Amino acid sequence: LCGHIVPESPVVPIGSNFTALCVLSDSCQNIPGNVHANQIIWKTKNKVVPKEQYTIINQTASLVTFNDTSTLVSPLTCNILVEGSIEQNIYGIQVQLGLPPEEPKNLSCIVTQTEKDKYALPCTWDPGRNTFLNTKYYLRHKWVYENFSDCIPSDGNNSCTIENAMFFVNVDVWVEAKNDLGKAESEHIKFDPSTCVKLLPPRKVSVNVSELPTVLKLSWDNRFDLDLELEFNIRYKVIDSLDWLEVPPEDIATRRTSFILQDLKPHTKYVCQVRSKIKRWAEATWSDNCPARWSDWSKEAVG
Amino acid sequence: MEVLPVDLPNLRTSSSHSQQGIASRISQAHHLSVSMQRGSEQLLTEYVLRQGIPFGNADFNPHVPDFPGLPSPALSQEAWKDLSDAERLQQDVMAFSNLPAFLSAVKRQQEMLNSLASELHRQLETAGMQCRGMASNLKSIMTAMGLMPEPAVPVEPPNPVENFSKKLVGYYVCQLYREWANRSEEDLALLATKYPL
Repeated sequence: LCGHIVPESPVVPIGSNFTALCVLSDSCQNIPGNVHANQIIWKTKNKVVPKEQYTIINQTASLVTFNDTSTLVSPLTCNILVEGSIEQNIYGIQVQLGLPPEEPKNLSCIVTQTEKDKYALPCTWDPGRNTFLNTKYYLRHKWVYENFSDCIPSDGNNSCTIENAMFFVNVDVWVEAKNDLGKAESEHIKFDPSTCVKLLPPRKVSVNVSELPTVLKLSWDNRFDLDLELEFNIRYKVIDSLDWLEVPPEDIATRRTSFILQDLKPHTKYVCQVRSKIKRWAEATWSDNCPARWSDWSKEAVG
Repeated sequence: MEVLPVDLPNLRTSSSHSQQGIASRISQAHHLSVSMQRGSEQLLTEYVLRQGIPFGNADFNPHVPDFPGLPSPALSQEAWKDLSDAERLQQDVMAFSNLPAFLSAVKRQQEMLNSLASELHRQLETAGMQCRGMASNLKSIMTAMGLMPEPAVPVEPPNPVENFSKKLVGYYVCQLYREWANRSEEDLALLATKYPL
């Protein structure tokens, strides 16, 4: 080996300055005669770096300085001009240019019911600018007295799903971004998962006629049986019509599995749908951070 | 001695804020205890279902012993009423801090004895998680009330050699879990009357 460059494989912030040092070694056989550092030629990807950027430290060491890394293209090589015109490569390094991560923003989570008693916690965030570097993102969460393992995004860098969200315990969630140039942490959001659930839609929705031609009975199954209050939206329309009518929310603001639709057009087919939401139960600061969402609309029921 | 002016409205507001903060934590923990009551019933039913005879027999009703770090919560009504808020909460914190170790020991044993009982394993896992959540909630309540939760003393769940003894210990743990879930619900319901929302 005829020499080496320090630093070995640097990661350099875009727009900053950078210096590298090439040190010739004594034990270099294939360069005859007495070599001096002033014979060193620096190159960035085969393009000679202007001499003004060199500083000769001593007989065996030459420094090169880049005040603006935009001209710093890999590889950066240290070469020696031997016997007048033959150029011998001494050493080369790859320089990675990039940026430290920005603070991830707009962290948002929705507790999503996946099965009857199972709730996942998918979260999304804005990762910020491109860093041009291998940047890792970690979705972190903890209780006041307990930490949990990180959720590492499987693809992309702006979402992750925490498998089991547990109700009635405040969780503190945040995102951490890390690369060779630094790390950044998002704002924390603290909430009780039970306050921000998106339920599975009601199922087995059915419409049954009654004795009166202007009345239909709508019934369904809820897939949530914890002791929290539910509220509903019901919409219905004449089949083939585009105009949905909605039942006033205040009429369906408590847990139920059926509702009587009245004042309908007699002897007319109607299409109906239901959706549900957990009613706000907690009056606390942490219950505002992650509001409940409506479930998707149920399948249409015709009657 | 300099007398600092006290801004009474603020003092009253800040103390009512802390009262409100305590009340909402108690309400939250109480919701969790109700959920754990239901879960512990389901767990005990599922556990008995998976162990075979004699566990499902009508006359199978062994006395549940205390374990170090996990005593029975049973108290006379008199003694229960005489507990201070601090004692009440501290006893609950100790139980729910220690229950996860017992429940995960039962889960490990059941994964060997009943390897296909995945629903039972899931319920044991959830129960352990909820106990840790309850311990976290209870400590937050104590802190909000200016009480200092005592550090949990590490416990060593029993690890019997013989299979039937393993099943029996698991049964005791599920029973104790249910009893503590019921006990915490009563404790928190009582505290909720003292700290209304």
